[in-house]
Amino acid sequence: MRVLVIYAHPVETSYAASLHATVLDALRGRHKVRDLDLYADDFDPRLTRTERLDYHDTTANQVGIENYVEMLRWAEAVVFCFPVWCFGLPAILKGFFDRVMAPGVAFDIDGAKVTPPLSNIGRVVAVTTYGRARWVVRFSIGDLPRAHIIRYFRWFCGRGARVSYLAHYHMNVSTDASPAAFRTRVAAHMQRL
Amino acid sequence: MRVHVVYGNPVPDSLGATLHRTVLDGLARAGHEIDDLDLYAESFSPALSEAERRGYESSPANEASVAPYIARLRAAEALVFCFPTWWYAPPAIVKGYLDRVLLPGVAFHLPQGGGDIRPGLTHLRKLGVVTTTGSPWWLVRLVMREPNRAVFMRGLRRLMAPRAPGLYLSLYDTDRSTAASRARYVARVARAFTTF
Repeated sequence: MRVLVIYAHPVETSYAASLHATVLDALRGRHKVRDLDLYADDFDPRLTRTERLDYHDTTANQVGIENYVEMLRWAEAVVFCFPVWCFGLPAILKGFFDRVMAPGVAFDIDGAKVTPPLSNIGRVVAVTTYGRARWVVRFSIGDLPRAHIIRYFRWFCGRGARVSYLAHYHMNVSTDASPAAFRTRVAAHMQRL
Repeated sequence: MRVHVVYGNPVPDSLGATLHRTVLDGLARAGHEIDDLDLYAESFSPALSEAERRGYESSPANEASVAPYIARLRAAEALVFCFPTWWYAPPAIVKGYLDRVLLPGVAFHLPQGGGDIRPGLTHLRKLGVVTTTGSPWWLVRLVMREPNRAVFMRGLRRLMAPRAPGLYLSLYDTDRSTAASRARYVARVARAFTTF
């Protein structure tokens, strides 16, 4: 399978980096893997004035983001690997949604009807970490990063695309054992992909 | 009252720009002191850097790279965010402001060795959000349960200043809005900020 890994964390020695390495190790050798490291790529998350003005013009709105569009169209599976910061996606990954998931790339606006053109993507996985406990996120604040992946991103993909959302909640008070256990769970999940 | 306005919109002649001006005009008419931060005009860099992430929890050293923004935040008596909602969340440039400036030791306090997070901006007397949302209100509210409102009014407000009243204004269904519905919304924002 052709797997695109989209990774967002700036620190090489972080727990997120170790999850990212775990994902790549489990996939490589069995799949064709492309690794999009947004920080290493120096991705600019800011939708520009021109991009905003051309947003709905499908003949112009891919200028400057061609390589990212090509990656999304190439992929049969996408794996997102990121931490949750301030109740949301890191800005660099939020910018990927703002700039790259444009009409004609991720969805077609045809009058009132919206159809997903990333039908090449049949499998989506997210690997993420939260500072807070799951019940706090879910019932008090709302789990926006989860919605971004399992609702919004899936919606662009092929009908019946399967989504797995692997999350380690409550990192603020995690023990030494739980991050390792979560990494094992991520590796096992990737092995089955 | 000294009001800090944090604005993120790339297009100068947009509805968002009109709303921003309306907020500023309303506040000025009400006699407030305004400190306006236009993130696009400043070319604010949204990505939390490697050094910032490494030093994230070491207060006050974590303030060095964004010290001027923190000084403005601490001097504010009210905070107003003004941006278009994209993908049910603020634009990356505003999200980056949250990631980089609302730090431990500034916006909130992480107690050593666990325990409850304590708010850090309790001097704020009000937290406002003025936004526009492409989707219709019933989809945003009933199906999506309004995640952007929840993040600002419940998540961030409780984190930073739980006693500050929140004000959340949004125009919904902007994709199908009319000149009349936009004008009604601008008037509503003008009223809200003249009496802020």
